[in-house]
Amino acid sequence: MIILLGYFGGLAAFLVATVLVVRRSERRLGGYTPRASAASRLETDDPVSAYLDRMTAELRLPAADVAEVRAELADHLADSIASLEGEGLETDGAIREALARLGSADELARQLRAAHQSTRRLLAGVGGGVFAGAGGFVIGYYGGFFLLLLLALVVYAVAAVLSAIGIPLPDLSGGDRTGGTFNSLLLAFSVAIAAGTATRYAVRTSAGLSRHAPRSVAGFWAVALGLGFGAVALFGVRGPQGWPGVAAEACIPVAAVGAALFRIDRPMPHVGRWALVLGLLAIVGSVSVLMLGALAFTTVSSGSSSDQATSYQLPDMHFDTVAPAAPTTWLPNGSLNDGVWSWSDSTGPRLNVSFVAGEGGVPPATVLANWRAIRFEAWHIMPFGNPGPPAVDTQYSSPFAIQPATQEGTDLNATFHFEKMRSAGSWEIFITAIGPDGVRYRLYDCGGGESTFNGSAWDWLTAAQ
Amino acid sequence: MSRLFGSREEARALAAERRQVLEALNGGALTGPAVMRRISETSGAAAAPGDESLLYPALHSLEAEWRLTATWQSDAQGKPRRSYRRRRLLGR
Repeated sequence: MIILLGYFGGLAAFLVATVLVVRRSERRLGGYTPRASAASRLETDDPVSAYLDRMTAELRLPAADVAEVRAELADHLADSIASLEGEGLETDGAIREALARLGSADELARQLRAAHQSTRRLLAGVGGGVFAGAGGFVIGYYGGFFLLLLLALVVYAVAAVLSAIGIPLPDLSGGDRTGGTFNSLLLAFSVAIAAGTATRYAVRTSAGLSRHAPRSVAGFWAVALGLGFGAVALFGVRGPQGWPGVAAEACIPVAAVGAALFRIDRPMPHVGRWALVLGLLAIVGSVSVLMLGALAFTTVSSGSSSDQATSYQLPDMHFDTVAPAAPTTWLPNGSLNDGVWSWSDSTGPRLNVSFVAGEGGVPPATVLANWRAIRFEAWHIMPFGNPGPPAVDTQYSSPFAIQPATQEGTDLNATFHFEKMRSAGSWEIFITAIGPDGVRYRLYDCGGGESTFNGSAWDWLTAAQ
Repeated sequence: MSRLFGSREEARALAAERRQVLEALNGGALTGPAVMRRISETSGAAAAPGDESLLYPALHSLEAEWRLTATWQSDAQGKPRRSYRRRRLLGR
C-alpha cells in the first residue's frame, strides 16, 4: 500500500513539476506583455524606433526576451538622451550621440544574443527538454490512451445501435477474434500521441530555457527523438502484432518529427481547469463503461454455460490429411499418455507426452522401438469461431511448423513458438513417426489452440510466415 | 564566458567590461544607465561613440551565468526600470 501510494504520489509530483517547467518556458517563449514599455516618447521617435526595430529583428530570441531587451534599451536611450540634453545638446544631436554610444544595432543584437544563449542556459535547456519530454510522454500516453478508448467506445456504441436497428455493418475485425489487432492499434496510437506530446514539450521547453527560438532547436529534437522513437517503434513496442499494428507503429516516429517541425512557434494550448475536469470525466466514464461491459460479459458467459457441448466424429476432423493413423500392432491403444501442456503467450505452448504401457501391457520401450524420426507437427485447423468442427484445414497439405521430438526416457517434448509466427492462427499438434514399413503415421493428437503473434514490429517484419 | 563572442579582442573587451560591471555593482542594485555612469566616474574618461556597446552584453551574460540577478522595479515616478544586483552565495 505504501509502495503504491509512493508510486502514484511520485508520478503526480513528476507530472506537476513537468507542467510547471513547461509553463515557465511558455511564459518565456510568448504571450508576454512587456511590463516595461518605458520611454514611449522615444519609441515613436523615428531614429530610436528604427534602431530598436533593427536590433530586435536581429535578436532571434524568445518573445519575452526580445520585449525585455527592447524595453530596457528604450529606457537606457531615454535616460541617455535626457542626460545629454542636460549637458546642453539639442534633441537631435542628443539622440545621435546616444545611439552612437550603443554602437551598431546589428552588432549589439549579435552580442546580446550570444550573451543570452550561454552554455549554462544551453545545458539547462537540454536538461529541461529531456525532463519535460519525459513528463510529456507520460501525459500524452495516458491522455491518448483514454481518448482512443473513449473513441472506440463511441464507435462500438454507434455500431451497436446501427446493428440493433438492422443496418448491416462490415466486419472490420479481419477475422481476429482475440482482440489482438485492436490492442496493438490502441497501444501504437497511444505511444504515437505520447511521442508527439513528448517532442513538443521537449522542443518548446528547451527553447524557452536556453533562450533560443523554437525553430532553431526543433531540428535537433526532430532528429534525436525521431531516431529514438523510431527505435522504440521498431523494437520497444511489444504485444500482439499484425500489419495494421506495424503500420500504426510506423506513425510513432512520424508523430515525433511532425510535432517538432509543424507550427512549432505556436504556443502550447493552455490546459485550463475545465479541460482537467473534462479529462477526469473522460477517464472515469471510460473506466465505468469498461467495467460495466466486463460485468455484462461475465453474466452472459456464465448464463450460457448450459449450452450443450457438440461432439464430432473423427472423419469430420480430417486427421488423415496429416497422416494415416498408426496401426495398433505397432502402437497398442493407450501407449501414449495425455500430453501435459505448459503455456504462455511469450513462450508458446510446450508439450510433454509420455509413452506408457499400452494395451496388453506392452512396455513403452517395446513400443518406442517400432518408431523412428518421431516429431511434432503443427497443422492449421478451421478457426474456432467458425461453425462446424475444428477440423484440419484441408487446403494445406503440410504442417506449418515441425519440431523433432526431444526424447527423455519415455517422454517426448517439444516447444513451439507460435507467438513468433505471423499466421499460426488456429492449430492442432500431432505426433507422427515413421513405422517399420517406412511410412509416416499419425501417432497421437495432442490437441489444439489459437495463437496470435506477440513481439515487436521488428520481430513481425523478420518473422516466418 | 559565453561561447559565441567572436574574436579574441572582442572576448577580451567583453571580459574587461564584465569586470567593470561587477565592480560597479559592488555597492548595490543599479540600473543599466547607473552602472554606465558609475563606470565612467571610476575611469574618469570622456564618453565616446561605441562606449556603451558592451554594457548590456556584459550585464546579460553575467545574468545568464547567474552572477547577477535582474528585476523590474518602479522608480520614484512609477516608471518600470530594470536593475541589477550581484548574486552572492551568502546574502549580505
